[in-house]
Amino acid sequence: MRMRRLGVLVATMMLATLTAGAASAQDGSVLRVARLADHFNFFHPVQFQTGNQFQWWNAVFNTLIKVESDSKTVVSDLADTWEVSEDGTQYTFNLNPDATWHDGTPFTADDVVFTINWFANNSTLDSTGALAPVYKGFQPKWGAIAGVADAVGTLDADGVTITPGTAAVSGVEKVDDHTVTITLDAVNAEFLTGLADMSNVILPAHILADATAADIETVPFTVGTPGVTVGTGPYKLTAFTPDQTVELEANADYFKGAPSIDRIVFKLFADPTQAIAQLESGDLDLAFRVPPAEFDRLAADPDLNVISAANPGVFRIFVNTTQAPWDTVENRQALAHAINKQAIVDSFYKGRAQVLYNHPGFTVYDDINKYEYDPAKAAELLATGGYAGEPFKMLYDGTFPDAGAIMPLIQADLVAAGINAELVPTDGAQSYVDMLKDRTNWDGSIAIGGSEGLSPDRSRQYYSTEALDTSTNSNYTNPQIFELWTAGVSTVDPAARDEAYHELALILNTDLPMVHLYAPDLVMVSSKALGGGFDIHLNERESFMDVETWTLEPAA
Amino acid sequence: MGAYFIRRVLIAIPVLLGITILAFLVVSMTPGDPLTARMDPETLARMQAHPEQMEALRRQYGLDQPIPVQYVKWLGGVLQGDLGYAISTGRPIAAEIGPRIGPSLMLMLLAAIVALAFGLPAGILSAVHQYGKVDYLLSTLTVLLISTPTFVLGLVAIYVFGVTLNVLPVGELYTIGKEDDLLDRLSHFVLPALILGLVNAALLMRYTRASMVEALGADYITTARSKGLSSRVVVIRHGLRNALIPVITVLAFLMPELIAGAVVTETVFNWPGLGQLSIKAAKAGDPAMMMGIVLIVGIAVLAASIVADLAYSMADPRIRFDRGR
Repeated sequence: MRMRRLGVLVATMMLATLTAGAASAQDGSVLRVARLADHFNFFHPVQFQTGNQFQWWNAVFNTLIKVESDSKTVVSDLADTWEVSEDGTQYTFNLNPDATWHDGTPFTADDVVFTINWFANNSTLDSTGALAPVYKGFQPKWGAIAGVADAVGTLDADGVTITPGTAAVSGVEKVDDHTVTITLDAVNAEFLTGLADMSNVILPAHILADATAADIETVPFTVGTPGVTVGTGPYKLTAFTPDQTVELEANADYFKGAPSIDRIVFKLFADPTQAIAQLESGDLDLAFRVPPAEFDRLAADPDLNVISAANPGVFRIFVNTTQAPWDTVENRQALAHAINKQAIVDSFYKGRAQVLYNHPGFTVYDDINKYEYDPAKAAELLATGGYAGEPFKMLYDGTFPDAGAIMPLIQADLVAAGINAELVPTDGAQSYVDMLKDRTNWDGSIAIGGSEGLSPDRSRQYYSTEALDTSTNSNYTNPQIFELWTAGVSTVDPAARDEAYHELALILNTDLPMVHLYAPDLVMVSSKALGGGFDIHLNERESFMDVETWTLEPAA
Repeated sequence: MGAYFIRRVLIAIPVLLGITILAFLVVSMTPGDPLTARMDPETLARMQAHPEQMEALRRQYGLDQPIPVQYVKWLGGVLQGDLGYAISTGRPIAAEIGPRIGPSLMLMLLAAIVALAFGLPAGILSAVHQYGKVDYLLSTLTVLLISTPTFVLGLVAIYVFGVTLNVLPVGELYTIGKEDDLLDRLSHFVLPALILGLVNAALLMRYTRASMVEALGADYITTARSKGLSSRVVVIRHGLRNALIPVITVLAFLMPELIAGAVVTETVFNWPGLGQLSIKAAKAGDPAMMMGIVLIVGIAVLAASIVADLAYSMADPRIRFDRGR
């Protein structure tokens, strides 16, 4: 008897396998997309940690403004137009009156006010007075708004539970149903462009009003529930199978006009090989971040367009500037001259990478020292710096892809120039972070990734105002650099900003606390049937910002 | 019979407990941290700048407790039917594992059928024509299948049948746009089940062949032949029935082989099953998720070994009657 019931259970599970997803069968055009990088299965910015989420959310949600494919020019989104006050601290956004949530509820300024207040009320201040934001991943611009610090909640005695604050953020004001004013603490030239990042997504007050920090990660809206996870965007969520697919359907009432493609399915792959096979067999129309090694083969496929794009994340060496002999600038400069960056780009990346000369995001000014590959010059500088053969221990997370191939190349170059380079790989991210704290463990640490390439301001976080602050990656400190970084954002005049950044670039270029190596290209592949307004953004995560303008030719 | 079954089940419980303790120890010793493993460098830099906030995050997930405490908490939860929450999705782990059991089960069942359908007859043929041309051909084929890694076989199959010839799908459960096409869905099973099945067929073939050869050399076979029975009756009714007894034991080992093989097969074919989930859990370093999978797989393997024991005692009357005493 029990066996029969077990048999029925087993049979039901198998039947479910054969019918999974059948409910979404439809006619019409369907765009199948894959982004071959990590993803988190959340639909709320409290857990916004990956570029994949950025893409899904661009189709489902909106922010106040968007950017064009250069990732810098600001265009309207939920805000039709906006005005900035004389002193540059106050922004007035005029919201589009036609925008509605996918469940039919009209979108109003209340939703903007709610989003910002919820963020403030559920964040807290840590013991140093810094904002401990409730969003765990990428941070929104809301922290720069005046009055946020007064509206925060408090951390309970157990150190885990947060009692939400009740005060409204003074810097946000609803003027009327379609107008909202935001006042910042100080002028911030990056505020407006920063709003295009999906951590600033505007959330529905009527759905999330009762959620708090304690349950926000598990409420139906956040985990992806069709009908509850509503946005104002061109596509509605129709199905979400975590780690497998995100299925969207066109929103005919979209305030910028109904999209042309009927359905979008984001496929999540654990392994890029499947995705590449599917591109070739015609089961995938668009893929981001395909390994550069596949470029040539895919480019030969007559049905595919293959594009190589710049990567805003980079490969660099942070030098321990407080430990002899690397506290002497000539020795650091010798490091830069000793490494043949172009050779690594050519041999390992087959040319599909950009050599870097300074922090990406900064213009490569004419008076920047490019530290060309010159082992003789390196030797000379070592002599000037009084280098006596001390080890240069390079600490890095041994699990990052290609570590095993690239690090020995760098070591070989350094050794050839007379530098006693040692490799110290760790067995994971945590041990890397732990070993980083003890400054005697390393002379150089390798860090990869980030998105410094998007703006000069994004490099600031890697430096600290105190030299031996174990919290940041670089020991280098110089009060002048922080003055210049602040100067760069506290004015909107492009000429003044460029002047500050130019000076900053020169200081960092001369003192060389970091040796920048290269930024590997990203490869995007699209089917030739994809057209209309389709374009890859400089920040490829943003590419879905105008998805409603794309067209897909029917399969032959 | 009933008492034997109950005794086996009772013994299995402490075994399962032991498995979970061992697994928990291994999982907690693995390098990597579920919190920082997948953090963007910018987020990591921010967290490093505010160590207090990092600690608060750790406390929230219960990762600041000593290991025995974490284990007891986990066990307590399991006994109440709560497998915990996955760090990377915020969803209950039971909800993560549940929908994946069906696809994995179907895949393993079909692979088992393939393994039996190819392995048994091949083993019998080889044994009957021992040292003949058929035997050498089949033996070479099986050695080839056993020594080629599953992912190589899978990738070759994908590229030959899926991309170049374009006759079979390259992976997953269904084709988008053809969700209600049953034939399409069945076609998605073909390659993964074949790959996983053929490797195990090769293993099964070798055991069957060895067992058959031994059985066919026994005295009672000579007696049967001298009685004038046809070759077919001798081989099947007298030889095979006895040869199958040790093969049943091997079939019990087929289950863990299929599970282990499924991990690779599911990754290659992007199959949404437990194997793929276990890789995901390992990469994320999520202890609760990994323990959930160990629990399910542990139960499955123990159940299979109990079933095999019962089948064995049913097939061999000597065992059944011996126990009676």
